[in-house]
Amino acid sequence: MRLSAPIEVYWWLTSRCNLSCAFCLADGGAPDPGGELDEAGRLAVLRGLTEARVLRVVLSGGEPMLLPGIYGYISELSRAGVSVELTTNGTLIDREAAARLWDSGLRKVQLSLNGSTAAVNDPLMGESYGRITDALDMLVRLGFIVSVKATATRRNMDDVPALARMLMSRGVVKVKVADPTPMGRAFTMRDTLTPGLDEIRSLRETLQGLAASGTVEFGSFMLSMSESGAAARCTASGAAAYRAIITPDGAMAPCTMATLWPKKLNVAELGLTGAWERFAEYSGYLDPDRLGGACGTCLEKNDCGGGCRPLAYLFTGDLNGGYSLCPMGG
Amino acid sequence: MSEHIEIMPRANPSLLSRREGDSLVLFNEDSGDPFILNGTGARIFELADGRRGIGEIAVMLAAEYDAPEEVLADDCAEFISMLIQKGLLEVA
Repeated sequence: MRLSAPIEVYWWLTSRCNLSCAFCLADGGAPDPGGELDEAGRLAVLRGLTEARVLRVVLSGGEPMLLPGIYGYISELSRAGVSVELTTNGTLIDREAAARLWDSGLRKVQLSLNGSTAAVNDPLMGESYGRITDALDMLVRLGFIVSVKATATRRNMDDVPALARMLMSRGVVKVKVADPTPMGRAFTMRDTLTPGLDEIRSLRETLQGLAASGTVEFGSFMLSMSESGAAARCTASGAAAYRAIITPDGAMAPCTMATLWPKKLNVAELGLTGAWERFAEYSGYLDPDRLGGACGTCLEKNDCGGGCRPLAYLFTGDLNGGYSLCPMGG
Repeated sequence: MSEHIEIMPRANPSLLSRREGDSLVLFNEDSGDPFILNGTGARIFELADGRRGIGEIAVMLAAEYDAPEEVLADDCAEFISMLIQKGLLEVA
């Protein structure tokens, strides 16, 4: 059954950010990124989310706490019965902001922290360790359900197990560890930041003991791509699609990587359900007859459709280019 | 009609849901898994409110769908068992 609207939406409200993390996939931190929806545009998206009865919305950025309207967005979604999670670096959440978030109906917060000490964290995120851990402790004390995302890079990999243990001892319900998604600065800096596949495998093994607790999750985009055995056919925009990303300019995409594609279905122009109805157009990129490079002559191309097309585009600059991570040798 | 232990299944409280026509769209926030139950399945899920046993659910379904209660009881028990396994229903 094709859904009338997504079940879950990740809404990147802005790419403005008060920090400038070395691995930011959204290239967050520019003072005026341009091209972002204005307040009226964001309110239109908000209306679309509630009218379409989207069940879960994750508000993120950039840094969503930079937007004065953030409390109103959360309040509007909560009143409509939508489950809301706020993804933030936490540095702008003082006691007053925390109280306003709570009163807006927010209960779930995901923070970013990337080292068990300032000496590990701050070179990656900028000076922020003290403010983030203060916010973390306060949010846990106030009753928020707090999870933390840690990005494992070459600079902090050895510290990740200590970070996970420290976060568990502070009452965090979930620690999500992942390698950098190869976009934005993480792509530009990949040679110095992104761990090799052997290093990622090693970290996964190290974390297995902690993962057994159910609190620590490990995921690796690059590892899952390389270990799938064959390029998997992307289903993110197909008939079974249920999740969407909305970027700061209002564009809707089927996954984080697909936000790189030049094709835009804009929620501000088409409405949320209007953009969703045309979501399957993204599947056109999986047409085997359009594939070039090594994918174009591969005997498996009708099954896989060329694997992760945005990733191929990222590495080759060609929407129909060869898929460099393909186990078949694309 | 076969014997069933009289359990009172109810929805997993962490599920999010919305109606789409005759279907019920469910989302498990903990696992991130979506589910879609169609017509009769959606109705069984809604009737499993923690106050009704499987037998009573089957009686209500039989009346609503004009079907033999004996047949429905077995199908209903099997379906509810599957929903419990998938974590959509739970037993107090």
